[in-house]
Amino acid sequence: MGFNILTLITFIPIAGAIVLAVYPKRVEKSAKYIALTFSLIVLGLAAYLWMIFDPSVGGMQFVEKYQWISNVNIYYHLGVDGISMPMVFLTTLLTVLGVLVSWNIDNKPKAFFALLLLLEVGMLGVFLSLDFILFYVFWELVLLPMYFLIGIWGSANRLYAAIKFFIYTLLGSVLMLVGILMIYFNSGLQTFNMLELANAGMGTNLQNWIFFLLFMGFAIKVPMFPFHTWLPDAHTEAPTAGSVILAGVLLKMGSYGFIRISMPILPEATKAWAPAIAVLAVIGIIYGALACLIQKDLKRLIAFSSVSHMGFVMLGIASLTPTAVNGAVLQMFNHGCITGMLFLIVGMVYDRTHTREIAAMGGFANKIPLLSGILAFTAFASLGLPGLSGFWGEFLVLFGTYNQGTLFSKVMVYLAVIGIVLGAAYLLWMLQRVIFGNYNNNLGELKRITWIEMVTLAPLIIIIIFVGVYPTPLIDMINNSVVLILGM
Amino acid sequence: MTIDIMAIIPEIVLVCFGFLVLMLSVFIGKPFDKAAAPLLVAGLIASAAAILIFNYSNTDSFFNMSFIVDGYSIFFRLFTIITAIIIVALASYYINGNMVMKRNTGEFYFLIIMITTGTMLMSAAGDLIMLFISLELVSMPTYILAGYAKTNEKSNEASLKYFILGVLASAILVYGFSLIYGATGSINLSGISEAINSGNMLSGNYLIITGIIMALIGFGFKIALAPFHFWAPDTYEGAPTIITTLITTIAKLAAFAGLIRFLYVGVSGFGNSLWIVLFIVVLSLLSMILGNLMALPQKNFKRLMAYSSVAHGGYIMIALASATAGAQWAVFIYLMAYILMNLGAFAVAMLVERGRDSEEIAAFAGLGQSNPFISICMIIFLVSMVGLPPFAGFLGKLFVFKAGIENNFTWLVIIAVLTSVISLYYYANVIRHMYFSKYEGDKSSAKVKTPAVYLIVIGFCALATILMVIIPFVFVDISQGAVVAGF
Repeated sequence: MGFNILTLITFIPIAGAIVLAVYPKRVEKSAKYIALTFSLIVLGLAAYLWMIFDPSVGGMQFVEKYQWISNVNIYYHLGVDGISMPMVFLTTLLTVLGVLVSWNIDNKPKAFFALLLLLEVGMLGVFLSLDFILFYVFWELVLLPMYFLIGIWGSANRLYAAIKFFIYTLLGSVLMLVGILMIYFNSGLQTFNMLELANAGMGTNLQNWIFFLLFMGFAIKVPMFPFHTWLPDAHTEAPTAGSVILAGVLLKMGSYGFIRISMPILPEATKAWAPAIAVLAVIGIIYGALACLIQKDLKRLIAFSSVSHMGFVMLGIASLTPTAVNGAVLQMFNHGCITGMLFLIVGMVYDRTHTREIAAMGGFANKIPLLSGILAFTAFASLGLPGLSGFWGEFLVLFGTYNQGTLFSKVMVYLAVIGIVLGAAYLLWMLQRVIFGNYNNNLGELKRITWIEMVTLAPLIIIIIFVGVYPTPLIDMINNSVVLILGM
Repeated sequence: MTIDIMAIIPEIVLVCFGFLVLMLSVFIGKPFDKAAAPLLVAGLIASAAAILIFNYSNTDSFFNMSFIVDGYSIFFRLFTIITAIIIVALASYYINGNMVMKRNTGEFYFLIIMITTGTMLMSAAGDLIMLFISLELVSMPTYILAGYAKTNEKSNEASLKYFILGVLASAILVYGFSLIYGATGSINLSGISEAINSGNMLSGNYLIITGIIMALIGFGFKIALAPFHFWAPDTYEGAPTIITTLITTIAKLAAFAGLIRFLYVGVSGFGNSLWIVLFIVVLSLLSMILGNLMALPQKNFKRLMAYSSVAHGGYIMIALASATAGAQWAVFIYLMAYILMNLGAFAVAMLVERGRDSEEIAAFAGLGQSNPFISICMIIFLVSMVGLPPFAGFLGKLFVFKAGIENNFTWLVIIAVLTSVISLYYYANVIRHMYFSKYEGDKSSAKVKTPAVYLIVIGFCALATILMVIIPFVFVDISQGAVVAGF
């Protein structure tokens, strides 16, 4: 194997955080260069990993397995497949962008960047671990840095949002822990190995219980409809980098859990629960879109659009057909790029106007034409314009679900299409109010887009166009692993 | 007989050092004060060395089976000594700043050494009398020390309350022991176990079941399990903070050491008795729920920790309800984690109390800004208490919950995880004060003084808290070596 590339990818950010922790306070201003260096190294490694990754293999690659606690069969076990590969790349990319967008932060930059890097460790670990306990450790590792990012660098209502996020997601994950332990004992295998547990074959009734416990953990993270209330608060109050990573990566941890854990290990329960998940997903799609229509706060609007878009991911997962699940994974990747980018732009707009009130905006097309253009571009990607990446994920989800052929699935698709129409409505209306119309002179002169902001946005623009035009390699790679997980 | 004496050399060494310090302090007086703590630490290290030299090679039972040297007692004795070293180190600075506490340095340390000795004897106790005597050896000095700040009304109240309720609990305990003796005709734990098993007493002999449950009440009081926890908040709050630390670490260790030996050796089949298991489950349930709920409105840090310790006791009892060997080492892991994070958290609290003259949680305000190192360590301790990885508390909870689920207490574990979510709120509240609010007091006290010994202790505890998750196999091996089984 040469060297353990997955371990390197996962733990280099920790090295960065440690360097930042001992970095002299006098020159705190330059902490951002350290953070950028480390996050770029990780991004480079992730890109290299993607290059040497063999997309035709569905199973795990670059597997690392070492005994951790021998007496209870806990392993340090990492691996990457076609589903986690895009997520790993997305995580490393958005972390770099998160550093770039926080370039001018002056409140405790050292701590800010250290937390950002710690956050990256947790997210990467979740996507790479193949041992339940390891998975859980990384899963929880995400909470604390995010709590501080929201709590210290957030906006007005940050304390409430931070603790709500913390408690809500912890509630889900501790129930997940109980589910994990139940799998350990009831599978008869006494192992935490996610791959081996796929052959466990537990009774249906038991599976249903365990599924419920895991569901709570994952559904809160996604978040699915009745458990979404932490999201608008957390996303709105978080600093820009925090929102980008929350929306771009953290939400995917939930849907990734469904695909990696619930589907292969609890297949019968997943089938039994699928209709309920589909219904909740569709409610999420429509409810999220409707909620967007009444938002006065630009950031909150995008937060609610996440609820809507993650509904598509969950609908795809609930259909349990390869096409739709491919669509779900693709949508996870695309939503990470697109919504991440929307939050980046909102952050940039806020830096100029110091307001997030949609009513106070307008006429930006004249003042900041390029940024407005990019905002329009991203909004179109978000509403699923063909030719941009957002289209393919939603299309595959709807196509795959419809193809199931049952009345139920067709109704779900019809309802989800209403969500798409509503999505177009709120995004276009948002554009109309923000970009067009009369400029509010109280906002003063707006600075044109800076080169560093261009650098921040450019990679995502390229990815959105590239995946929109030529999604085949990505879909093929995802498909090989999805087929394996669905056991088809 | 000579060999019997060899077994308790560690305790003898320790008591000798205790008396030495007491006498030197009486005869030399003030000039000796500074040397007392180093001398005691030397004594504790000598005692630990004696365990390593005389006990490892010679595991057996001594003094007519009343004193047992095995993996279990070696583990608890060494762990007690490490805890005691830390407490003595913390005390050396703590009592310096307090005129009342400072008045009789030798006496103060002597009492701490007595408690340590009692805890060590407790873990090795092989019969009921030994259990009772060592429990009292732990309790009596603790009553005195709780009231050691004698000009402070709250300290007096703490001591009196602890004393009266403690004596009541001891009485219940010893009455329970007498019932057990009456039913089995033996005071020796393995003899009791034999009598119970051969007479099949756990199914239907209510005399013995009553005796065992009364003993559980006695231990439950010492551990501060709900509903026998009422002394804890007042005592924790009123006692000098260093003594609160001692009560929540060494005294708790003593009670658990006695309880586990009593259950696993004396009543080796307790898992088959519905009554006993039910009683343990009720203790666990009430402790988790009451402990965590009552902690929510607390404004005083020490009261908060009192309720938090009730809750932690509840979590540990889940494992004990499972009554398996696997559950036992889960308890040891939990205890190690619990004591490390408590020592660390109290060390930080003592610094804040000293620097800002307040025990309120609000006194932590702005600490993240003024003292970054101890604040980060404090986060580690608090988050570890919630049970979040990658910190020791997670490992403890993981194994305790694992033991619970293995033995079909899944519902109890679900309640445990839900209550631990509640606990996040009040622990995070301390973090919130440290990082999200500004210190309102005068500027001079904003930055808290941090003497080197505290920094070492806090750093050590924080490091150990993290290491427990990074190299867990070391700690799992240690705790599995300490498992004790009935005969």
